[in-house]
Amino acid sequence: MDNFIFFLTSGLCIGAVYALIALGYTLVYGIIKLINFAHGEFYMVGAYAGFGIYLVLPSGTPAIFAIPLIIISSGIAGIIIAVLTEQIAYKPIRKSGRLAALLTAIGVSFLLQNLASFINKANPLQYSSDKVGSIGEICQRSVSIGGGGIKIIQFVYIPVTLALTLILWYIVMKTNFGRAMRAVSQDPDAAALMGINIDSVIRKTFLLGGLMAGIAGALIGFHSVIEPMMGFMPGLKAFIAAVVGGIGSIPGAVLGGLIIGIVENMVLFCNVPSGYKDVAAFVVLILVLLVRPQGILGRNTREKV
Amino acid sequence: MFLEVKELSVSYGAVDALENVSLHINEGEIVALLGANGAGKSSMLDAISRIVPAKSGRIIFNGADITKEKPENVVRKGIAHCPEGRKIFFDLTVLENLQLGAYTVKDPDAVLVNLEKIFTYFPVLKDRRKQKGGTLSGGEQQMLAVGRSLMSSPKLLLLDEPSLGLAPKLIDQIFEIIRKINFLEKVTVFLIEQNANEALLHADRAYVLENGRISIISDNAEELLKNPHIIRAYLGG
Ligand SMILES: Nc1ncnc2c1ncn2[C@@H]1O[C@H](COP(=O)(O)OP(=O)(O)OP(=O)(O)O)[C@@H](O)[C@H]1O
Ligand SMILES: [Mg+2]
Repeated sequence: MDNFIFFLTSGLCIGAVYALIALGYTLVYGIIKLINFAHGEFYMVGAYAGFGIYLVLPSGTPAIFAIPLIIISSGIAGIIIAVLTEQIAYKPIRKSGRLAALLTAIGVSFLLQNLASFINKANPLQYSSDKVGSIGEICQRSVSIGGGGIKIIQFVYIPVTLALTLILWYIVMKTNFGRAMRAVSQDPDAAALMGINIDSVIRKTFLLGGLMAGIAGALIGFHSVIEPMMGFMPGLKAFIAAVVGGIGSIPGAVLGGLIIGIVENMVLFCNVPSGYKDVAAFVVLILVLLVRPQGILGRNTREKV
Repeated sequence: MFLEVKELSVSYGAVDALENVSLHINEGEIVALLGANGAGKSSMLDAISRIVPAKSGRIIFNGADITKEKPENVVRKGIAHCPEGRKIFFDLTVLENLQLGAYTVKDPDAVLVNLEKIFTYFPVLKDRRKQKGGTLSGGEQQMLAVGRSLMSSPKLLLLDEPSLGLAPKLIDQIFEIIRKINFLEKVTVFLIEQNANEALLHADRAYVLENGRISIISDNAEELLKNPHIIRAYLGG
């Protein structure tokens, strides 16, 4: 029972990553009412891209430069894959109804997983930690907190998520583009009458979501295995986080991510076998939906029919 | 000619909303388009602002063919459309709604000037500027919708039933403001109305649509008020 602080810290850190991914679900849902099932794959692509940059960096590059560079590259890769997915797969069927879009999203998800397996031949990758001072080794270092070891790279998660969330919040609430996003989300026809280019707003929304998912992929990739299916579980949990927090709500996505992260660590804290850890998110989902179907911070939206 | 619609047809699948409709609007005019429910009035405005496609025909504004333009470019060219049912952004504040009206205006100073102008026409919007659009009364929402469409400094204002659901006193007020905007701001107005009486009183010219076709063209809107067919069909005579 003395390692409560450890599990809480651990939960907050991983929760911050879920939050980062959940923001993308919530943004895209907010604007085109699509559950983008391929979003977890944007995260996976980000992790691979970061690793790719790591491979081409000169071996002596100090980690203090390499780590931000990898994070930025992953973000850019996330942007590229998200915008391409939107342009190639979603845009052509935007008027074909929600079911078609949902099925397409699932298809894109499988496609990206299989493409990654094809390119990577399904061999998991990992930053090498053999050499002292290498990125892999630094990211594997841990400090003891509340009776357990937390990897120092995990302490980057919360500030990164916090910074990106604040920037996103500013964009959405204070800029012309953000106003346009909210307008398109509420009434695309009326938004078009304002002179808003809807296609461009949707593209930029995917861009923002892809950026955050890609960065999340880099963060996790630093200390765990990079493989084609790695996006599935975090993607699913982040989706649950977005729904728990209230899909369409930015603070909701962050809150949901943190809740899922903390709850699944509390499950471990209570000595439940770790195999049940992944079930925790679903239990939270069911409980929240029973009490508050629109999610914790979600609004009771009058759905248009 | 300022706006010229040539043999325009619009259809939704099997439904023909407009068939070979031609009309024109001169600069500085207020032109009314009357017609029963389902006559195709809103389709006309939607086709001009390009949110529904024209099946055939041409729309020419200020000498430029806009038949295939994107909606946002139509706004940039100087046409603002205040749609049927107001279409206020409920979750955005009054101020944000107005700012969205000026989305195509790149100069922030020009936006502020327009905003002040709108606030002098509609003082109530200034008092309510921090309130969510959805919390306004119906009349206030209509003012917001008109104000929002003026924020882009349009040359041509398309108004779809601005009096719908308003009390008679408010209707007078809205039409008074429309006239002022037309006279003082030199905004040409194309006005759709079911309230034929009010519309004909304020318009220079009028067209009547029946089942997707123009049935009456009048160069003197007030004279239409005495037309027996109009009285029977639209004035409840
Ligand atoms: N999106 C749509 N899909 C199918 N039919 C439509 C659509 N919009 C309009 N119509 C049909 O086109 C015809 C013209 O409609 P429109 O909205 O232009 O009429 P209106 O003159 O504005 O009527 P009202 O006075 O009731 O607003 C109607 O028969 C209508 O049912
Ligand atoms: Mg109509």
